[in-house]
Amino acid sequence: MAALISPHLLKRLEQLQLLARRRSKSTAKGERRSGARGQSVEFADYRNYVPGDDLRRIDWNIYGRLDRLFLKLYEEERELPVTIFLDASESMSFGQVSKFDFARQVTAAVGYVALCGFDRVTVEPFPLGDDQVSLAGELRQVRGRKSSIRFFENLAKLKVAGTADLNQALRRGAMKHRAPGVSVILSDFLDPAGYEEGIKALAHRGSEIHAVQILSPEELEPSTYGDLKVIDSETGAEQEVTFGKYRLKTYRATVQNYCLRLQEFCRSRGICYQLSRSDTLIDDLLLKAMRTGGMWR
Amino acid sequence: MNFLTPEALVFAATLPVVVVFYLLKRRRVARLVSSTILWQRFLNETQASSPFQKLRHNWLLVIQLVLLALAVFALTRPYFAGKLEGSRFIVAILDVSASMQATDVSPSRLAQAKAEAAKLIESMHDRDRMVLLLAGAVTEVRQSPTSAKAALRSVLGQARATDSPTHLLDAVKLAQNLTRNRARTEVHLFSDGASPDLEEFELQDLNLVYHRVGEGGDNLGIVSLEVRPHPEQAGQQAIFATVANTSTNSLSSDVSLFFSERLVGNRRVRVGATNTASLVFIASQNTNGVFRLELKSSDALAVDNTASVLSLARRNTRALLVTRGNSFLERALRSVSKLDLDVEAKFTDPGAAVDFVVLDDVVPSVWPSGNVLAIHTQSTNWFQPSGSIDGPPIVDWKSTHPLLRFVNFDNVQVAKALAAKPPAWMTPLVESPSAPLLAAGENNGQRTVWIGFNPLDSTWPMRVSFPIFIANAVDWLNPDARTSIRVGEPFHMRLASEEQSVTIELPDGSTRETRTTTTGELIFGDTFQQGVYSATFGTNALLFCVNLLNSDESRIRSRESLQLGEYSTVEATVEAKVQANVDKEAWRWIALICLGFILFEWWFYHRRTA
Repeated sequence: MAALISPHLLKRLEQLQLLARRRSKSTAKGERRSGARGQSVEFADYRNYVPGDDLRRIDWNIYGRLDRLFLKLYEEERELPVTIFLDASESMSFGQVSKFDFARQVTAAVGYVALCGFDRVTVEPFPLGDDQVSLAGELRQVRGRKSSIRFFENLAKLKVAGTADLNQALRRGAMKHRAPGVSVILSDFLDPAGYEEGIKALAHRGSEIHAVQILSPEELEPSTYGDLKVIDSETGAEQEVTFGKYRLKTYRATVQNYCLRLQEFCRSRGICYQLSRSDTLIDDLLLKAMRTGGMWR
Repeated sequence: MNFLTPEALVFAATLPVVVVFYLLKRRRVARLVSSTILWQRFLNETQASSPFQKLRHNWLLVIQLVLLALAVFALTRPYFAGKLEGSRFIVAILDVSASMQATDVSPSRLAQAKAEAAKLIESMHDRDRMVLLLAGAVTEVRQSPTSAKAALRSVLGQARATDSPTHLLDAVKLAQNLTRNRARTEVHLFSDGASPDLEEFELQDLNLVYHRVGEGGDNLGIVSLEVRPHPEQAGQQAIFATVANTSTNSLSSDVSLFFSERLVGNRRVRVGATNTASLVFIASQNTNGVFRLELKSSDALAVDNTASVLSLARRNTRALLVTRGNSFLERALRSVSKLDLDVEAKFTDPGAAVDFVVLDDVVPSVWPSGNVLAIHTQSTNWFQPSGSIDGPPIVDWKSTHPLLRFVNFDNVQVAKALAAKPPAWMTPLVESPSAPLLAAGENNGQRTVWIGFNPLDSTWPMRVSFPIFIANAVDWLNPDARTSIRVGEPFHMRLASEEQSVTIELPDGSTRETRTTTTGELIFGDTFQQGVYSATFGTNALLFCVNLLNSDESRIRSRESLQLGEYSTVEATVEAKVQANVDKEAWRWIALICLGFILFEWWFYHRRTA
């Protein structure tokens, strides 16, 4: 646990609460307000008594004044499903501070905040290696603060593997988690097949989505020059390029355009977007950037 | 523009090779990246598997094609045809005399002159030719006509200054002969101009450019040194020296006299501006040895601060006077110190018993084998008698000859003289309009002074010049007298009666092997160093001194112009004349541009990939 998040940061995270703009539609009880009526301390409405109703919920004070029977209705508190889509593809292993390590730290932080808020946390790593299926099962439907240690341990065991299909992973996640909640996507979004379809599917479910794009410093500013043959770590595809310092500016513009396109796509769908370097201090991202972005308060 | 080797255009076939190189794929450094998506804007090359790729616009390709085209262009040796003029023929005269050792300019005048000459060599065109002359006491053709700049530079670099006085006249005359009947000739003289003999040269149409070297500076120099027996104190030697100050400041210096490297006198001398000071040292001498005078002055010219003279504790000179009676002559001879004189009425050859013979108005049956002062007589082998002349006026005499030093013929009248024609080896010293009256010369080591009239038939014995002349003649005819010569003069002395080998050690320690002539005379010409020379022959050894003692060399102020003849003056030039370029090949310039392109291409490539 200590390897992922420092105790000091955990204390700070305990004070945070995940924000959800929509009422929870989950069926399980929790501590989030929902549109359903049920048992809680929050009064919601009255309705006429009909035979069969629980006599304990009749408002006897009103009956005394009006001589009619009314039933007091309370808001049902449900849990908030929090789904974290964690990119575990080969490309995430790059960077002096590995992008995947950074993403796991963010996952742990989001998960911990959710667990402290009695929400249900599911981590969906993609792609999933054969030896990690059971591990992924452990990371599903995690509830309660007590589970956080186990949650962190399982997170630490995750490894990068294979080629990611972001669209497919998000589509599958949208189908799997029918109850809309909060979805956090942690990825570099460097997928040759794109990311649009997956995000659209997820947004269509009514999830509140937070996209965090994690790029390494080497991707933002390459330091190798000359006549290069660059090899894609996931696909093995080769590209030849002649690169020098004088083209660095153009390269930066390319990266910026790529990120801006993603940001624009997210904004048009009400998705919160964050770009983060893998060498950024995790405290800065969690306590400043994500707080400002409306992830929690 | 024309081309000397248009066939070099064949090399243009290499142009497509460069293009092929660009069609070939480059070897690249493999680098694993997280994803190639971000590199899409840099994917300029095709991913075809063939070894060739599509030719793209590439500045490197353009630069290299231009570079190759220029190289091919240079190989064709293009040239610009103009009005064809003949190539220049340049004679460069480099003064290597003693005054060129002056350090008034850094590092020395010779170095400055060599630098100027090097500039001239660099300015030569392909077809220009140059001759390099080194002018010291003798003129040396150091490099025959050539266009090879490397050879000229090498020869120029090897030039060294000598201790000898300048005789630019010989060099300029040689240059005139070399340039005669040639078109576009130039004679460049790199000198400080310290050569008074140039006034004897008429410039005529010689295209002489004077490159003045040096400025001028303080210099004290020894300009004369002589040792003579003290006239009053027996066993003592009087050393006469003259120190000249050629600068415009008054200078002083310590003067030290050494005898065989032992200090025998020291004196402080102060010499006024452009003035001289005479010094007399008295020193006792028991053995033969060398007196060396040294100025402790750190002036611009060091070579004239030292002079040496050999002093022999010599025996008396022996002379035989054959006369029918001439009291003037006999008294004049007897007045000469250290001279043992025998007087005879009839001549019989004494051989080596006497140093010289005086024949006074007698005709010997056999001519003496040694040195002779012949008065009013002639050898039938040497002279063609052609009668006599009455009252010949004296029109000229060579006062520069040692025999006529301090001798004046202004008020000498001659009543009758022989009208004889002296042989070629004799130099006429006193001349009348129709025949020489006095001549001297040396033939096969035998010195002869010939007087063509009887002094008793003239007013000469009554004049003071007569005993002076006799004293000079005794010195000149005495074989031991010539142990001190000037730098560059040949040393000659009769050593033995037959040929033998001689080893001569020079002042710098190097040795020369030579042989005497068949008559046993040593003639040695490599006397370009100042100092004491040692000749060893058999078991005997001989010393002789070589000195600069030249006031013209000591006067180190560089001449701003050269006076040539009576009417011509050559002003010093600052830069060598640059001739107009004609018929000049352009390949060097193109090669230079090629080099520039290579450098630019190198920079451009590294800018791309750095």
